[in-house]
Amino acid sequence: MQFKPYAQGLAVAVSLAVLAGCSSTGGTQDGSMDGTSGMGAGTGSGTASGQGMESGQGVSGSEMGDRNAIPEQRTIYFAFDRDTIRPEFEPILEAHAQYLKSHPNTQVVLEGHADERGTREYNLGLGERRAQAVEQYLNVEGVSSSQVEIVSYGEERPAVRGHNEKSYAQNRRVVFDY
Amino acid sequence: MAKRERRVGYGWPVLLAIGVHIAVLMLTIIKWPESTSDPTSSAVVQATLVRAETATDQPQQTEESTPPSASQPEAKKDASQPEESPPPEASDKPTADSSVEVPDSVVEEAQAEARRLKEEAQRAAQRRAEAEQQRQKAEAQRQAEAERKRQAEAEAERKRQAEAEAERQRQAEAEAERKRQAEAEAERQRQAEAEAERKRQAELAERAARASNSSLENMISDEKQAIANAEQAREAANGFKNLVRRYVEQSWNLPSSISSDLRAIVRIQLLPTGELVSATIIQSSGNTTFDRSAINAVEKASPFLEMSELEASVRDQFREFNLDFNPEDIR
Amino acid sequence: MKRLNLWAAALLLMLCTSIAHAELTIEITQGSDQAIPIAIVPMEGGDALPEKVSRIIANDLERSGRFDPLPRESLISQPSSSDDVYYQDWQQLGSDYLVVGKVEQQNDQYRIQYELLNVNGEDRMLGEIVTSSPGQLREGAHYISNQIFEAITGIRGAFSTSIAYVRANGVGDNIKYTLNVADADGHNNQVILSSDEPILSPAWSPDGQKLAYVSFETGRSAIYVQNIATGQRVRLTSFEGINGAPAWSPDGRKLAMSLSKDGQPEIYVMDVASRDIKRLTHSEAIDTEPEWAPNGRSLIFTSDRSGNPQIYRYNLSSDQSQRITFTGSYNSRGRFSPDGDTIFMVTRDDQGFHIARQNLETDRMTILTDSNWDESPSVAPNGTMVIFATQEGTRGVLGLVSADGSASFRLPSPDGDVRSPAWSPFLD
Repeated sequence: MQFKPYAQGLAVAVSLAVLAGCSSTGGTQDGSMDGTSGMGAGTGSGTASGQGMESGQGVSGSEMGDRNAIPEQRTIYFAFDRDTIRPEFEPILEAHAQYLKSHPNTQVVLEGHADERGTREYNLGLGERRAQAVEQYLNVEGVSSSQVEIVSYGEERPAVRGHNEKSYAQNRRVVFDY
Repeated sequence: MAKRERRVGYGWPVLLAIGVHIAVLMLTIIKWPESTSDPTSSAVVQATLVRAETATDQPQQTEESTPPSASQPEAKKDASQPEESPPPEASDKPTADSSVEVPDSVVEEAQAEARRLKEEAQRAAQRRAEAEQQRQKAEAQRQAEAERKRQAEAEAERKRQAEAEAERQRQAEAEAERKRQAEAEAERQRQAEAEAERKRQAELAERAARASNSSLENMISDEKQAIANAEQAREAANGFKNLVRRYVEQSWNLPSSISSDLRAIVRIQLLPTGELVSATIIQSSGNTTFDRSAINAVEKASPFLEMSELEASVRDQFREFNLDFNPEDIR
Repeated sequence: MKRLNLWAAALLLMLCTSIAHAELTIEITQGSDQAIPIAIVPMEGGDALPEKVSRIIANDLERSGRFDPLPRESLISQPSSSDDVYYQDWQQLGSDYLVVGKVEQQNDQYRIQYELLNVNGEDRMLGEIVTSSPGQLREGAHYISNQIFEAITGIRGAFSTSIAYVRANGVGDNIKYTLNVADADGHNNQVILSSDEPILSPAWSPDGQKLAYVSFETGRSAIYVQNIATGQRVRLTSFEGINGAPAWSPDGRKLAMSLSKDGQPEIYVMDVASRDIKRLTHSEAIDTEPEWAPNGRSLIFTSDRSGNPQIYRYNLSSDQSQRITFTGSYNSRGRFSPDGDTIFMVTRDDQGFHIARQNLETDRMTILTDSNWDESPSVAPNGTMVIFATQEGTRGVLGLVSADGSASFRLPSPDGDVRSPAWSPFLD
């Protein structure tokens, strides 16, 4: 009998924490609401453009400077149940955007992945959503859609095996596959 | 302690005690005259003292040679005379060697007188001593006599009391003995009944050992208890009804996938021993598996051995009856 | 007048006797759904066989969750026919049923004679002779299991069915994927597809001859249909985006699927013959995992249009969707019971992901498993059991749970990760 109020309180607290975490990352609402792609892109681009100046300094000089090399960092990670771009990865996306823009004949496949929790087919959808968020970011940066293809592997190709948050965090990712 | 309803028990010892005391009193009264006829007490002691020292100062030879005189009345007389004259020669003159010139006849007379007086005194003393001895003897005799009598009385008293006590004890023991025997008898009866009861219970317990589910076993053995102890036929019938229901429920394999709104009624016929004669569907559920599961349950639950414990009138109710298989909706 | 009096008297007498003999009825309102104790006596002559028939039967019945076969050591005697059976012995053992039999070799065939006996009723329920070649002995045993199961429970036995599943061996980028088909008890495994790329979502056609599945062998997801016996296959879709979750209609002519070619995963129905597709859902959310109702008039599917995955029902005549799961924050991958009254699904709670059952009339949900990594439920064609994927440590294995949750088993897997099981329809 005592558990119920605790469980509810805990659930509320946890969801608040998660929401708080989300809002801090992308300033968006719950990522899985209707119109994820549209709204996510809108806010994502908003943040991106706002912070684009600063983050430019954070990126390593070689990446920024050498636009002829495919950026080394090709994987960006996502928070649980989210497909919003986290600010710490924006420089990487920037780099890729720059690269693709300067190589209009280069194609990239964005591989979307999800952690193992939940059903497989639904996770295909989650992986795709994340890859789509990245694609939209690139589009806003000026990359042409013809250069970008999306494939979602869902939970089928995990980077790391394990039933813990650490493993999950490493599997929630989008990989640039040139 | 058992109550004493008979007052005679108290009465007799009281009466006896009173009797004893009266007897004692009587005995003491009778003995008084004997004690007053005892003469020895005061008349004897009238011996007078003639010469205390001279009797003893003189050499002993002469005194021993004089025979003691016997009769007492003479002693009294002699004793009374010398008593009037005070004892002479109290002062010390031990030597007879005095230088006074005295004629021999006077001296002889005096000496003879002295001798005579001496003898008299001796005789008186002897008489006195004898009287004294006699007196003392008599006194001692009297005291001994009184002592003996006292002891005899006390002895008699003790005996009487002991007897009364013994009598009381005998009475009490006899009473206690009677009680013990009565209780032992009652105890024997109780044990005989308990033994019969235990045997009945043991038989029922054996039947219960066949059941497999332990929590139902408790319920079943509770129900058996009800049957064995039931005073009223209705109680026994209810007990048996519940027993049948528990056994059948325990044996009814009802898979959860079967719809709970199925219902079948089975007519069952039993022998007086509780063995199954027949089980037939008189109202089908429409589902052959459900119907069959009901029949199976009855076949598995029987025989209902407790049937033989019932009184004939109760048993007859259960020779033929219905079982309504109607599962409650638990989903 | 006299006759009337006679009749009246007779009637009165009958009434009197019936009243005197008052109808006593005892109500029985509950039973026990414990597994039925059954004794399966080793078949006489069975030791010489390459397959132990009575052992296969005992395993089948035990894995159904409804039977509790007596251990071999406790069998006090080993009769081979009902003539040799002394029912008292078996009543003492507490067994409700008894299976006895013998096997003879006739030329190059085996002749299996078996009898099913009711111990409490002391009568014979079934008796039959099954002929089988050495290679079909397992089949013959499964057939006997089916007969016994149906005779006692009234439900058609599903012991002659198959399961399809995916196995993944390896780690990282070196995983080998195979699509397999095996007997329902795991024997006679055959690999029907091997690939370096992921394989997902096998689905049996209603006639039991084909499997639809998702394969990434072209570099992205595509839906294939393959004939199991011949190995022939066709690729049905290769749209952009996700091509996933194929589901056969009850008549076998259509496949529902999830396609994200228009931006996000939506439910489509494709006519297999003509390849025409019709779009059913139009939300901005992920709509996937469709499944047809047994009567073919509706589909259920997963959608996160409410914010989290829940199960919805699409009515094909009204073209309307309606949410049907409201318990918990994550419900997906719905599968119908054969009678259409219940759906089985994956549900999430604080502990993890479990297989659950929901009664469609009462909306009451019951969680069937207490393991925490359960997914991909698939229902046996007789509705009694559900096979699903779960974890043992970090390895994927298959689990079985009875539809009421009362019995559960693990199916051992020698190597690799096993996932995505699919239970075939009746194949016999």
